[in-house]
Amino acid sequence: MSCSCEKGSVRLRRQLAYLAGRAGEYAITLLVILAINFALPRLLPGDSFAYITGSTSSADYAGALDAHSQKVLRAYYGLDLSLQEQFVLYLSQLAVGDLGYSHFFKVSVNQLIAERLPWSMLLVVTGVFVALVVGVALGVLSAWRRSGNMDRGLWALLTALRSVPSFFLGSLLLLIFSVHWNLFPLFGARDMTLIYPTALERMEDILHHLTLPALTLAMGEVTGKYLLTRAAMLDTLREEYIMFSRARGFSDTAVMFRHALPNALIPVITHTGMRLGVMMGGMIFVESLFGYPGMGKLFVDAMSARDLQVLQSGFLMTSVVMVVMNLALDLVYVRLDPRVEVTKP
Amino acid sequence: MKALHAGLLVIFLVFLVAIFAPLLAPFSPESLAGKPLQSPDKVHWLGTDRIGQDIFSQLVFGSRVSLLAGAAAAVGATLIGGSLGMAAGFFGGRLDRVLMRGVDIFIAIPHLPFMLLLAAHFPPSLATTLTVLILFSWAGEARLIRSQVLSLRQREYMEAARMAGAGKLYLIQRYLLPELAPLLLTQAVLRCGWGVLAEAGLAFIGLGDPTQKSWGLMLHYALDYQGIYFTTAWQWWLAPPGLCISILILALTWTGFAMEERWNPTLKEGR
Amino acid sequence: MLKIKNLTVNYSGGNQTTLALCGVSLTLEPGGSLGIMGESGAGKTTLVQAIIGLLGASARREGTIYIAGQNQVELSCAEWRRQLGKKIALIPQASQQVLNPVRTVGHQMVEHIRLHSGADRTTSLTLAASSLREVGLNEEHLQRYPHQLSGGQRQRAVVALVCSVSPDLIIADEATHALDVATQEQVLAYLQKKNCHGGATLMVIGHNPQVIGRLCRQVAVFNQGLMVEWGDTAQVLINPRHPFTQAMMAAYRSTGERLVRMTQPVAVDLQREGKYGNIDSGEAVQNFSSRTAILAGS
Repeated sequence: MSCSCEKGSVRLRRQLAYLAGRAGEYAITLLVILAINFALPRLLPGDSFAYITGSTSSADYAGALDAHSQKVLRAYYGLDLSLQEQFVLYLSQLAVGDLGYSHFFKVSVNQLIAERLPWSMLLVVTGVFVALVVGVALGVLSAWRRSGNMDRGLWALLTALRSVPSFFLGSLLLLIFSVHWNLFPLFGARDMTLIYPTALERMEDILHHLTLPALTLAMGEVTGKYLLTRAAMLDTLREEYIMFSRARGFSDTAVMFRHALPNALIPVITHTGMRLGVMMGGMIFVESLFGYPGMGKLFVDAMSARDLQVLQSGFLMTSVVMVVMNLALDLVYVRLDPRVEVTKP
Repeated sequence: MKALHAGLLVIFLVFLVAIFAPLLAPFSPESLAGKPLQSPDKVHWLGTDRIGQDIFSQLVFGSRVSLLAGAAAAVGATLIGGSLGMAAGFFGGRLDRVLMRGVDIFIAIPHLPFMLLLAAHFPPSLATTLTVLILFSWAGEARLIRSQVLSLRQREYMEAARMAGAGKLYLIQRYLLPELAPLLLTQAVLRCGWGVLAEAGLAFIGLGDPTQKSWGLMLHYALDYQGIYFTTAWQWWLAPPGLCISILILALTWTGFAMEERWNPTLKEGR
Repeated sequence: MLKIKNLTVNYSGGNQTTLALCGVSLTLEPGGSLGIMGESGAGKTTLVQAIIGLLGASARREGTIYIAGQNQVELSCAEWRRQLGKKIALIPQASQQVLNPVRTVGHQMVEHIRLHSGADRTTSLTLAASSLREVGLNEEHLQRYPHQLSGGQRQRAVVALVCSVSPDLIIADEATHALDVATQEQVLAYLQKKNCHGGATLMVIGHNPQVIGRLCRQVAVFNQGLMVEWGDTAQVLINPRHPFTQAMMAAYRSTGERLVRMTQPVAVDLQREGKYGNIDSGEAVQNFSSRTAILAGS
């Protein structure tokens, strides 16, 4: 069996090569985002200093900032330097982890993001997880009883659900569960007036606040997963190896879950990765509707205050989060599909 | 096919409302036609909002913005995405690699944060919204059309025509476009639904043109009102625009799916 | 072992009905071997599906099927399904595509063996490895995924998988189709061993008289849903009585002659080396002579 171990390491090496290829693609994406961040305020017509400081015109900041502050700020952003030098300065500031200063919140952007990002991660990861589990389960159910009443019902219900914008759906959930039945809090991620005696109660409160936002976010994503799982299952069930499993005496349940599902999951995982960008949008809607103190809420607040530093860094950090989640999904994918070594990334 | 007929009927009705909006709406959507926060009555069928504008009139005129957004997204995606995808698939080689890598990167960028960043540089207006929608609509189509073109190129009659010396332009006009038309049309319908949703979303987070009442903007103002959940105002202020958006998108989705099914025989068994 | 009485199957699609099998009656003694020949569309596949109880939803079946004395028609779908794999085993037609692409060969074999014998993992692994060796593969292939094997290796792995649990009735549907001659002989020898020494009853579906002649004592010939001829292999293949069988054999002679001439020396060499020929030499020689007769044009 010594030979087979070697085979295993070959497979691992190929998986790593695949993951490295993906990481390279993500790195290019991040570079493009850096370039956008750098170029947008500087290359658009108008006073870039005004953009960066969140003013509408040069007359606007002239009143708010004295000549000395203006000089210091201009030097900080390197606005008097050439574009190339500015880009180097921009990158070196990022490299030491300096995301800038928010003129609206009056704190460093690093601090803002450190406060907000964990809440968003909690929300999005929970949302993805719930959407995946529910979508896949319903998709399998639908494929199993295809063309039956339940299949038709689920299809109609979920395509209808997909058509409801998440911010409207969320407001209906709030109306029913929070206002009418008083089951869940109206807004926020935790009760700011409480001091928790135990960690368990703290967690309970956080979950209590998380339920409706995460549910709303998941409901927007569940239809895509459902439709894809259903289609992938129907495709897989037509495959020769599924017929063979039946002809070998495996029960319907075993055929469905042990033989067909692992194959049908592969496109669903790929799809989940591709939808993460859209989910970040959903996160913004959900957070601003539920007053959830994550990145999405931060975005909307920063936008109405024209706080470009926060918007840029938020854009960058959201992308980084997406990349990390994508890599996690790639890991799942590599484990699910052994053929990853023959298909080029 | 019931889904197709119902979907088409809804789209047609919304279309009629949008065209005849000035005739259907009892008030101008901008005029202060009554007292603030009036419940529905004979004059104001859906009551009034916080500053006394007639909600029913806003709803009627809002259909115009939604349809416009949907149409912009559909046309933009079909023209930009369709031609890029066709070029990449048909000419292949380096052009294909560069274009598709670009599409991959574009898809990997979180769109809404990017839109917010862009919006910080431009004043909110209907033109801005439509431009942004067109700008972000095409990537999925480009990818889909490319893969379809690649598979069409493999067909024998294409090969035969090429062997017979048919020019590239002739091949595209004579063979590719007719074969791609059903797919392009289906995608345009589905993309239209995406446009309606995206416009509502942008308006909801405050990026809408405040002078153009759209359904998304109505939701924005309704949810901005602190008492919306605690009075009956949600019934006539929040629910109608939300339902209108949902029903229009549902109609577009079902129409798109039904068209897909009709033209793609391999999907028949799936439904 | 297998007794089919008056089996009729028809498919109803839309408003027309297609007769796939018409009044077929067959018996196959325990330990026997039967070849089913005929052109595509003759009803061979329908017969297999009827025996394993996995006819499509649009099929209607009449008549009775006894397997090991059990009237299968009286069984529920689930009961019938439970007999598959051990009591009735199928080596399917498209056997290059029947392995699950995301599981290793070993995983699928062990899963199969454990389902039908209840053995533990280690025993199952040993059994799987020894089955693989019988068809010319080895334990190294247990770790492989299907896409890492060649088409022929996959095909043999399927034969090993199906036969690893020593089924009572093995139905081989074109089991050696598209294999090269040497590997084909390896698989045929393995099936023959299971049949002659392992006590398995064998049913071979195919249209290659060489394969049928090599494995089967009896042959049934099908044409358009009817069983037109049924008898001893040598007699049916050399002296066909039914016009259809005569035409089929004539066609095979004219197109197959070159093939037989090409393959003969290899087979003879292998047999001379005693690689597989001593399993049931009497039978092999008899089959061999019938093949020579075909070659000679009788």
